[in-house]
Amino acid sequence: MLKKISSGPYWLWSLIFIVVPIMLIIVFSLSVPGDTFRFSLENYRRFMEPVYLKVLARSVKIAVEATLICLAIGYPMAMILAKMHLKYRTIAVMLLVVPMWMNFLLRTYAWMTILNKNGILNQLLSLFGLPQMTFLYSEGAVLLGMVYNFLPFMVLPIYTVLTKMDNALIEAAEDLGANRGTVFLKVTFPLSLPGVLSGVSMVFMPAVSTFVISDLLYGGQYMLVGNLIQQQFLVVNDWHFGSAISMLLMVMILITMSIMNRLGQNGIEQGGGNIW
Amino acid sequence: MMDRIVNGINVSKVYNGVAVVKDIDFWVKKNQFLTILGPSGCGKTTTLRMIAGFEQPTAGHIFFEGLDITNIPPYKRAINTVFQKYALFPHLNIYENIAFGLRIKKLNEKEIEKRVARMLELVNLKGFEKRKVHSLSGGQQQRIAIARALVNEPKVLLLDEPLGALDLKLRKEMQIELKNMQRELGITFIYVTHDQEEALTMSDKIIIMNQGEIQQTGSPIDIYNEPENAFVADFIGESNIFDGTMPSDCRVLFANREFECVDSGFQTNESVDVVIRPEDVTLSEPEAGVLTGEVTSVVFKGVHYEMLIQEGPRTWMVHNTLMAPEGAMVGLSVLPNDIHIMHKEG
Repeated sequence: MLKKISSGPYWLWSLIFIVVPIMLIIVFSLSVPGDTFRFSLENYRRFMEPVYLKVLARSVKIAVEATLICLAIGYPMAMILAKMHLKYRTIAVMLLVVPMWMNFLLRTYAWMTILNKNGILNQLLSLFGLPQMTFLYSEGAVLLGMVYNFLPFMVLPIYTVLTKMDNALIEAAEDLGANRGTVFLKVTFPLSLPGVLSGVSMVFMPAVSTFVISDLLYGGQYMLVGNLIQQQFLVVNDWHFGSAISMLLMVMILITMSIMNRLGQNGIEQGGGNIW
Repeated sequence: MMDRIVNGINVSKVYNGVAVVKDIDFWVKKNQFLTILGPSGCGKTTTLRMIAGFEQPTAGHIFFEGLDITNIPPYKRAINTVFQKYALFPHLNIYENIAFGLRIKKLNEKEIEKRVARMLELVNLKGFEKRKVHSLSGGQQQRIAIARALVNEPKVLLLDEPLGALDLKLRKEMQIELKNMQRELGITFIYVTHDQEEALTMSDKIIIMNQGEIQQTGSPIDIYNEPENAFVADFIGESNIFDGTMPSDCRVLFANREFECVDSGFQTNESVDVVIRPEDVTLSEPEAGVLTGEVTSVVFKGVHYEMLIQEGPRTWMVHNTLMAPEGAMVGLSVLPNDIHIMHKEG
C-alpha cells in the first residue's frame, strides 16, 4: 500500500511532463491546420515523398557514420582510461567530461572559427604555403561536430563497464592459454558489450535528431531531419507536419533501441558460442 | 633436483616498498599435493600468483621442469589455476567455459566434445552443458572451475583457496574429491589455504608461511608432531604455549617445576617456549598429578571434551574423552616426549 502511494509523485510527474506532451504531439500529427480538430493522415503521407525520405536517409547515414567513428575512437580511449593508474585516471576522466559542462552552442561555434575560410586551420595551411581549403559547410564538418560533441557519451559507458570488469576473468583467460589479443576478443570485448550498446545508443540518438550542429557547420536548409522539424515549427509554422516527423523519428529510434537491446541480451544472458 | 617439477629459488616480491614475500625457497615434486598454509597476508597467494605468472618476482627465479619460467607469460605455462572466486566467464555457457582452453589450442570439435564430457563426468555435473554460469550454486561453479582447468591436462594445478566460499559439509566432501582427483589423474597440486585442517587432510607436504617467510616445511605428521616454532605450533592445531627456561639438556623449568623432556642443545638457562598439545595432558586425581588446577570451563566437542584448567596464573587447554566437571580440582601431568621446547622468536 505504502509502495503504491510513494510511487504517486512519479506517476504524476510522468503524466504531466511525458504522457500529456506526447499525446499532444500525436494529436497535432494526426490533424491538419484549422480552427477545429480534423483527423487526417496527410502529414504522414507527405513525409513519404522522396524529398523528405532523402533527408531522413541522409540523417541516418551521417548518424551511423558518427556513431561508428565515435566507437572506433572511444573504445581505445575507454581502455586506456580504465588501465590508467587511479591517480591520473580521475584527472583524465575529468578532462573528458569538463567540455560537456560548457554550452553546447559555444563548443560548436568554436569549431566554426577553426574551420572558417580565414580560420586557424586555413591560416596554418597558408603558413606552409598550401592552398586554402573549404572545411566549413561540408558534410565532413557536420560529422566532425557530431563526433566531437558526442564522443564522451561513447567513452563513459564503455569505461564504466571496463573498470567494473573482474580482473580475475582476464587472468583466467590468460591462464587457459589466451594471449592478449585472444583475451580481448573472447573475454574483454564480449563482456563490455553492454557498455558499447549503451554508448552506441547515447551517440546515435542525439546524432540522428540534432539540428544545431548541422545548422552551424553546414548551414544548409534541409540538411537533416532535425533541421526539417525545426523549420516546420519555427519558420514554416506547420506544427502538424513537424509533429508527424517527430513521431516518425521517435518510432524509428524506439525500434533501433529495442533491436540493440535484444542484441545485447543475446550476447550476455544466453551465453553460448554466438559471440565468437 | 630433477624430480622437482616446480622450484623457486630466493624468490622475493615487493609491492610499493613492502616486502610481501621475503627470499623464500620452495619446491614440489611430481604428483605431490603441496599446500601453502598461513594466515591472511602471509604471502601465500602472492607466491601462487608468481608460479602462475600473474606476478613477476622482484628477485629470484622460478623453474618449471628445470627451465627458468620467471619471465614467461602465464599463457605459455603448462600450469592452470582454480581461482578463489571461480572466475567463470559469465557470457559463456558451461560447455564453452570448459572448452575455452581447448578452443585456443584449436582442437577439433569432436575432441573438444569428448574431453568436456569426460570432465563433466569427473566433477559429477553431467548434463550441465547448456546451463548458464549464474544458474549454478557455489559448489557447482567450483566444480566447473576445476573442470575448466583440468581439461587442459596441466602438469601442475594451482588452487587458490578454492573451497573458501563453500559451507562446511560441502567443503569436507570437496576435500576428499580433490584428493581423489589428484591421485587418479597424477597431477601435481599446489594448494593455498588458511585452513589448517584442510591442509592436514589433503597434503603430502605443507609449507607454512608467516609474514612472507617460510616457517616450516614438512609432511602433515611432521608439522603436527614436531612444530619448529611457537607460531607453527599455535597455527597447526591447538596448543598450550608457556614461558620456560632450560637449566640443562633434557630438563625444562616452567610452572615453577622442573620437568623431564627430550630436547637438548639449548644454552644454559635459555628462555624458551614450552608447547604442549591439549590432547597430551593427562588428567588425574589432584594428588596423583604433577600439577593441580581447577576446571573453569567444559565444552563438548563431539569426540572429546575441551576443558580449560586454571593452574596458578596459567590456563591449560585439555582435550579428553572423559569429563571433569566445572569447579573440580584435578591433577595434570605430561609425558617427557610430549613436551616440545622451542627457541623464542625475535
